[in-house]
Amino acid sequence: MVELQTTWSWLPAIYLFLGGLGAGAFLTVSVLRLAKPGRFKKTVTGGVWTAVAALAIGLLALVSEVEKPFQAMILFKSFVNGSSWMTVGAWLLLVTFVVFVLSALFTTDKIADWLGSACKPLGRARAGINKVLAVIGIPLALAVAVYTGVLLGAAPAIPLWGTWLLPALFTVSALDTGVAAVSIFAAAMDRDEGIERVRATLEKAVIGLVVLEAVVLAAFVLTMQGAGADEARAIGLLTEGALGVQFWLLVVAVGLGCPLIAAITQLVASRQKGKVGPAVPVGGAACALVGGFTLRFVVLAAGLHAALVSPAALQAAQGALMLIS
Amino acid sequence: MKQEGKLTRRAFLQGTAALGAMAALSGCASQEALKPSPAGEAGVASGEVEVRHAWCQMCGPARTHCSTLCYIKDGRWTNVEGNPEAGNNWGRGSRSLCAKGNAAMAVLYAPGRILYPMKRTGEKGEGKFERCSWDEAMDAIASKLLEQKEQYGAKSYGVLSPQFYAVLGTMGRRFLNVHGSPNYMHSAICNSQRMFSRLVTIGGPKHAQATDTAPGQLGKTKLLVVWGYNSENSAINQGNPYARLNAIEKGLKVIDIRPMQDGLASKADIWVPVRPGTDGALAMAILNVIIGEGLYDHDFVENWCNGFDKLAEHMKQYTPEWASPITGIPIEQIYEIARLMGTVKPMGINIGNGIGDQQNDGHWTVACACLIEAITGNLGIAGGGSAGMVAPPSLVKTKGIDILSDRLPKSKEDEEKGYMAGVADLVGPETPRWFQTMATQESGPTTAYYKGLMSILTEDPYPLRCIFGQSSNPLSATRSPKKVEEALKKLDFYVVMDTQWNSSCDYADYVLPACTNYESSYQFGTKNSAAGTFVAINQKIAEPMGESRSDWEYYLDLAVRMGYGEDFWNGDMDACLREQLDGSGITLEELRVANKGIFVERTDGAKPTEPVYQDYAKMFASLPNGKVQCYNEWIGNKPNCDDTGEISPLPVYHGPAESIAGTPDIAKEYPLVISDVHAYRLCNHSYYVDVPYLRELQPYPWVKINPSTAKQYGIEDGDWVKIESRHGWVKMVARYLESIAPDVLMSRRGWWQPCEELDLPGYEHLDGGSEINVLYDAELKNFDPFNSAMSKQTLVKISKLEGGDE
Amino acid sequence: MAKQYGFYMDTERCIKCWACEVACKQWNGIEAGTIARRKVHEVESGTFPNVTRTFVSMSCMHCGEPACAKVCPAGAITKRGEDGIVVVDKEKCIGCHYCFFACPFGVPQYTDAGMDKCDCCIGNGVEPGDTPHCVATCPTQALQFGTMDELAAKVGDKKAKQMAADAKPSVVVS
Repeated sequence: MVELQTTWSWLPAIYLFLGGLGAGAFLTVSVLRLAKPGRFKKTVTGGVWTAVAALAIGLLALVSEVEKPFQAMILFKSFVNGSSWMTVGAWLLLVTFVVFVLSALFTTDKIADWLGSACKPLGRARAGINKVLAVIGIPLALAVAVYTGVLLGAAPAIPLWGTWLLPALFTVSALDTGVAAVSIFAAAMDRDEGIERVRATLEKAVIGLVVLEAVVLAAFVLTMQGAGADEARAIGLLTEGALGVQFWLLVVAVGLGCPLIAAITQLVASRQKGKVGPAVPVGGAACALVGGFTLRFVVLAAGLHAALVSPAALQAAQGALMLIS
Repeated sequence: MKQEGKLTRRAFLQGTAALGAMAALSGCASQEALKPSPAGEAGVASGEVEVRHAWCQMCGPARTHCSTLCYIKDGRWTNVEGNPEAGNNWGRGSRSLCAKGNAAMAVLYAPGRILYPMKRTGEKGEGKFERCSWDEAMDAIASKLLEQKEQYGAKSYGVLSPQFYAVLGTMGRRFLNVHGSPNYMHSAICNSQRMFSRLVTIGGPKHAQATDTAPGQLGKTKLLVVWGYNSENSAINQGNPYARLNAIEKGLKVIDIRPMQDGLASKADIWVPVRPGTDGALAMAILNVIIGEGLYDHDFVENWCNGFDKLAEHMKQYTPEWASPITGIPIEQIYEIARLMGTVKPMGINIGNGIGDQQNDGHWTVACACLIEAITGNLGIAGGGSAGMVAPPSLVKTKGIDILSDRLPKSKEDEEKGYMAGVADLVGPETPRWFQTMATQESGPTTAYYKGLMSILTEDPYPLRCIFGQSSNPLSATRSPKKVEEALKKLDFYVVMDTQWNSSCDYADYVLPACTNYESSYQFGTKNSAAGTFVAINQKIAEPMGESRSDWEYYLDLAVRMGYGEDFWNGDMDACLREQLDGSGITLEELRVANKGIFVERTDGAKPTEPVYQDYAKMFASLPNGKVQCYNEWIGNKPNCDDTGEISPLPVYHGPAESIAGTPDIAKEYPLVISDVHAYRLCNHSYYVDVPYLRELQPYPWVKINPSTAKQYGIEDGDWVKIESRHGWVKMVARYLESIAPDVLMSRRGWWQPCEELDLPGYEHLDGGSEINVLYDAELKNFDPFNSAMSKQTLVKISKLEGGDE
Repeated sequence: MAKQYGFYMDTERCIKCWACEVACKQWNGIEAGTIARRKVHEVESGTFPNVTRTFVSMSCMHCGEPACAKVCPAGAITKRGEDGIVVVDKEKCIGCHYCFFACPFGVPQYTDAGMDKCDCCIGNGVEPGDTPHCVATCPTQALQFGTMDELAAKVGDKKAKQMAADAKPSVVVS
């Protein structure tokens, strides 16, 4: 009878999810604006502010999780040990957040105009600034998405997290949820004439990412099942144990299945020149977000320590297990 | 929002809601003192901390087993450890203490301490009390006792006996004798019951020195049988567990007979999971095999056994085949352990309370174990029962408190019937009246605790009119709290003296605040060993809380007010202590300043010597015919303790009032057997459940259950369950344990104390509460007819309690 | 490093009496209901009646290569050079819990003062290398303390092994 890991629970799950979401959203709209500069303003602005909000709330959740939040916020004091991935992540997030905020400021017309009027050179350089921020922001966002998985993997005591497939999974999920979030703006708000093609592209991206995520997820599950007793025990919590409902219903069916169906529905509808209301893409995107959060949550909750490593004297009998409380 | 001190996560979350003042980013470290200042010896060396001596109270107040050093910082007792000077546990140098000992400070500072004498103003059970002065309370008690002595005779006063309590055993008994009452209400749940049984089976010379079946030289034992005995719960730091583990390392084989595999049972070679309440049947079957297969010492039997042939004939019917369905032990295993006990030598048996005084067949179970030990020739040999090394004499010779036995008047009936003084007046004799003498009893005549309480209801032979309870809670210490509550409601006058408001206090007329032994300096103890003799007194660790007073002082004060002052040092406890120390070479003043006690080294080189082995003429001198009573002529065919019949001269087995094999009809509806551990290493009987360090380890009343059984009833580990017998029901938390038979449940009793610091409640003592004693049968006719032992087993049914703890 | 101190846990002698847990809390001023630097664990195996119960008391292992120290972002965890005792500086600790996930035994626990764990009682005044209170209080001498060489000698001819993990825990179990 195995208990779940609860030291890192809701708040870190929120942080990992929002970090990934923000990274994915920024990446998506950055690719879009680099391909079509100046277009699809509502989508791009929405995406960039989503990235800012996601990272801000995520960082708030992160800092709320620690025992001493105020001390944690003083980075140069509390994040000094370079051999810790948490240190790397903290500084990475700081830089990335700054880039996201700047990008948001310069993307939003009202603010950018005000900045431009306050300082003319800024106004003239606006397009260039946005381009540079997008170019810098993409690798940073990617790093953040990958980092959320690497952080867990660098905790050597948790067998379930000790595979490169975890950062791979979190990265794909970050992109998946990011595209999903951006597609909400594209479907519900953008009036740019080319938005339908963009929406189609986004939906194709969703299909591709969902399929890829399913593949990576399956690989993760299968690898863990075959890796050893501890890994199998942990992954079992997802596939058939205490987290079974959350995994199969929310992560797989809702998180992967629904967006896939929604995306296919829209593509088919647009082929047939039919009209699908915003409910479908928005619904599908919301499902992707639910699935993305739940994925982080169950991966954390199943992050159990290995059965106590001990000499034969202690683990003599088969099935002997010691839980670390 | 910014505050010096703890800027915790909670503060942060509250602050971010406001999202205003970021002034907190000033970078303060903000924690309370992180480095505790040096404690213990280091603290004493640096002058920050003071050390004082106290005998640990956690095995019971007024015990003097483990000497401890108490460290006091800024007037507060902060730390405690075993005193290496004293020779605790394995000897000098030991600083060990059990979990309870390590938490002793909590007893002094318990938030639930009674601080003032309280007088009841409402109805019994209502809980309406008002504070009064000591003078008022003591005068009321004194005058009530004198009034009742006039009206009903002194015998109408009885005193509750907790586990062996030095105050009652000496001062309290002295008071009883001077006042004129024999009604020392002994628990009948005590090592005493075993001693009665051993005394009449394998000899004495007297009660306190009843021949032991436990090996006196464990290092030479080959096979140890641990039977209903759990020193890892009852005497963790007193040497037995340590010595046994050493012996096991050197090759000792152990058979452990008990229902639940806990503690030391996990180290045994063979664990025999006997069904609770059936050890008598097992013992008889073992005797059957040993006799039937001729595995006994023929020489010993021929020369030193009284009535062996009668026993042999009688035991033929009690085969392992007969015992197996009763005990739940496979037939082969009974043969196996019987043959081991019959052939491996030296063999010794650690008989425990579990079989001697917590089963209604207690006497015969112990007697059979003694007979097994005797007829296999294991008594009085090196490594067998008794025959311990003889320690060189104590270098500090102190006197006990004279209990003034001859002051107890002999009544006409005592004269006529040849009883010891006071016995005819006993309201509910613990052992047969004709049997009670100063040689067979511990300190004088005794009534059984529960019988004394029931006399109030039955008025047979007469009702007790006043009961004094000191350090004992009758609603948990004995059986049937429901009936006890009835009795307390009807009782004329009930006085309680305790440190805590125990669940019986609401039925008292007066409740007096007792101080702990850490707040008084009235008791010393000695420890003698080959290295020397250690003597120490409790030093005051703190002044008595509120108006609390020492239990010793209570008796002195009462005696003075009742006109018995001359017999009680006119109220001066120090005078009593000086009397005890007279001639010892140590003064009271010396003792009171010795903050690590006084160790008197042995300088004459005297060493422990081997005893005279197999000194059977001396060992069995007090027995009829000077022989082991295989056929018991001492108590056989003589009146039992209630004068309702005669005691059998040969072993009999009744079984508990409700049992799987004995009452199969009842078992249809109540299929599981339940019992309780009685002693446990995180409490002292039903006390210390309020101690935070101990309560956090086991916060809720528990019942251990085999997982397969639990699953049958849809009960998960941690679920609250309803446990119901024919006598009542309780609620407890189920805890899965594979190390218990599927048809057996095991619980722990007490639980009436809340723990304020951890926000945990106390539980009720009636139906719907968690006091296991509610479940057991308590018909007087079912008690052991020789020593009043009571059954601690019954049949129950269980179900998940919907709504959990509500 | 001069010496490495560690613990020897003889499971054949441990009777799950909890004295070590309570002694540790008492001497280190840890309030009941918060954390426990030392805990008694149990392994129960088999099915009735063939059941074995093994008890073991565990606290920080003062590993040769402490995984906790590596992952701490604030550098709050250090391994002392002179005796190998691993200590946490609560003032530096931000309580991010990462060390819990790095330690193979899940030893770190947290209060709002930061991470808390065994420090061989040097925080309450015991000289480094002298007997910690859990060891002094054990009524069966199941728990022992000393340098790894001293512990090897104490083990004698019992079958004992050093606990196995990449972090090289300084604990021997028999």
